[in-house]
Amino acid sequence: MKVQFVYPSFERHAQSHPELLECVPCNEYLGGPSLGIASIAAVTPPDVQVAFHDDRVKPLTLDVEADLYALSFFTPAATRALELADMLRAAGRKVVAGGIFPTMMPEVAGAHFDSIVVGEGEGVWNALLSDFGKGALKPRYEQTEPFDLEKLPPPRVDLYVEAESAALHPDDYPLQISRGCPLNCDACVVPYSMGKKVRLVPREVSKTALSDLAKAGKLAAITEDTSFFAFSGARRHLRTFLADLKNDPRPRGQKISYLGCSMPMILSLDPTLIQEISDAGIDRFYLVCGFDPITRNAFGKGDPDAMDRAIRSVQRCHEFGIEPYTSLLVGNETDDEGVFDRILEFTVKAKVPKTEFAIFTPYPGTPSWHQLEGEGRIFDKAWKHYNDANVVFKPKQMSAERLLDGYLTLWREFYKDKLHLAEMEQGQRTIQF
Amino acid sequence: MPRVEPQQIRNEVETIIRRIRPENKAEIRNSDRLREDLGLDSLHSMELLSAVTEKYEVDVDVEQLQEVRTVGDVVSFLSKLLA
Repeated sequence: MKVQFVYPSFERHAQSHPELLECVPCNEYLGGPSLGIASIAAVTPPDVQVAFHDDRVKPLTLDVEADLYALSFFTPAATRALELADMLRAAGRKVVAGGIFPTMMPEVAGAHFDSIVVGEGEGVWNALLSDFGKGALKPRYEQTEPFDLEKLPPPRVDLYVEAESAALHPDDYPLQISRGCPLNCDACVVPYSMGKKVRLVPREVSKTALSDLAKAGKLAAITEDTSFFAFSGARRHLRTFLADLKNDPRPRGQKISYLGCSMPMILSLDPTLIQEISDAGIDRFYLVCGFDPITRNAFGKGDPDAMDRAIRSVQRCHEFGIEPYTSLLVGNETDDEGVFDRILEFTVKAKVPKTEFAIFTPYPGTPSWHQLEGEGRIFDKAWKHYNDANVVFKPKQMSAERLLDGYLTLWREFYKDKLHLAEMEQGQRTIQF
Repeated sequence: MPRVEPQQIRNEVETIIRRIRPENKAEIRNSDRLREDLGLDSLHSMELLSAVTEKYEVDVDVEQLQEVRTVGDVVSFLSKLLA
């Protein structure tokens, strides 16, 4: 049996708004696929042949033959994923899907696939394959309990690396050290797709994943703010990972491309932990703003104390020798039309070196999605527009047109005096847009 | 983990509060509410509880923390866990 994994394409910011290419003197980051396919491939029985196709690089066609096609996708890729499923099934091929979108919108996804996986796929994938082999595929396989990560093998990132080409050769791939989150951030889907309890990826699995990336000459990208907290021993687990990372002989900045977290967390974080992060060789934070009450109050309401804390968060990164790469979100319920000027003021005062801008997006399954749906404020369900670069809902304090215009203005204004970035080496001048 | 005296926990909690809110110079009382009296927002409170539970090597879930409102609540919560 041959299983063809497919990662469907989606629009990035510069594809939604090509004018950004004119005003942003940086390289577009076309990162590696999410870990979904690599994780499912790792639990696939060895007698099943697996192959990987990245639809972002080369659009999938019927020439790619397999017994079973397995697509993994999040919301921005859903439009393309559903198109691919329709194309394959019209040609008589069998197609299944998993990932965040099928998990959060099973009725929508299920109408296009022979079968979908709801929830974490590792626990049900082999049952699906077995049923497929018997010609008895069920329409839905559901992982109702969080998958036991003690059974988790290292992800098959080698599939991604083998599929690299001149058009796509990422410097980094994701690495996971925990799953789940007990918090209730209204714009985040993690607690609903991976559960509310923090579960820890076994130390040896993370070490092997890191080692595999090192052997391939790749960095790891980590988004782990839940690991900064004590739930389920996550902080101790993070410190153990950092100790292992410190023992990795590669130079500083050549092991991890970034460590992502919510920006204001930096300010209250135990200084010994930030020092360990720096000592482990991590030289860049990916700081997410607009999900937390501090940056919402700072940028949305102009609260001077919150603004001061946002600025000091960035300064604290500099104090530890870690670059603060920020992701600045507009369109929150707290944002009036002054948000754009306040964000630009923040970037100047905090001396933000590089940043990306994003439009609030109510992703299916999040509390915001349910709220805005209930209020009849979502006017666009073209899933390809759910990429943080389009307005798909009616904002509370401004028009949709004003929000989009403000977002584009932020990109233009922030980068208009930063043409020198184009002179930096590739890794330093690459941003996500 | 050997038994930890409540006063030791109290001292640790105060040290962490002073670290994460250094601008707060006033005396810290057990009755002080984390948010209203000490100015700890949700991230500060999370950091306080994360730091102190890490210190004493206890694991907690967020649901257990719903009733923790004051400095005294933090000390009491941890004292019970470490009893």
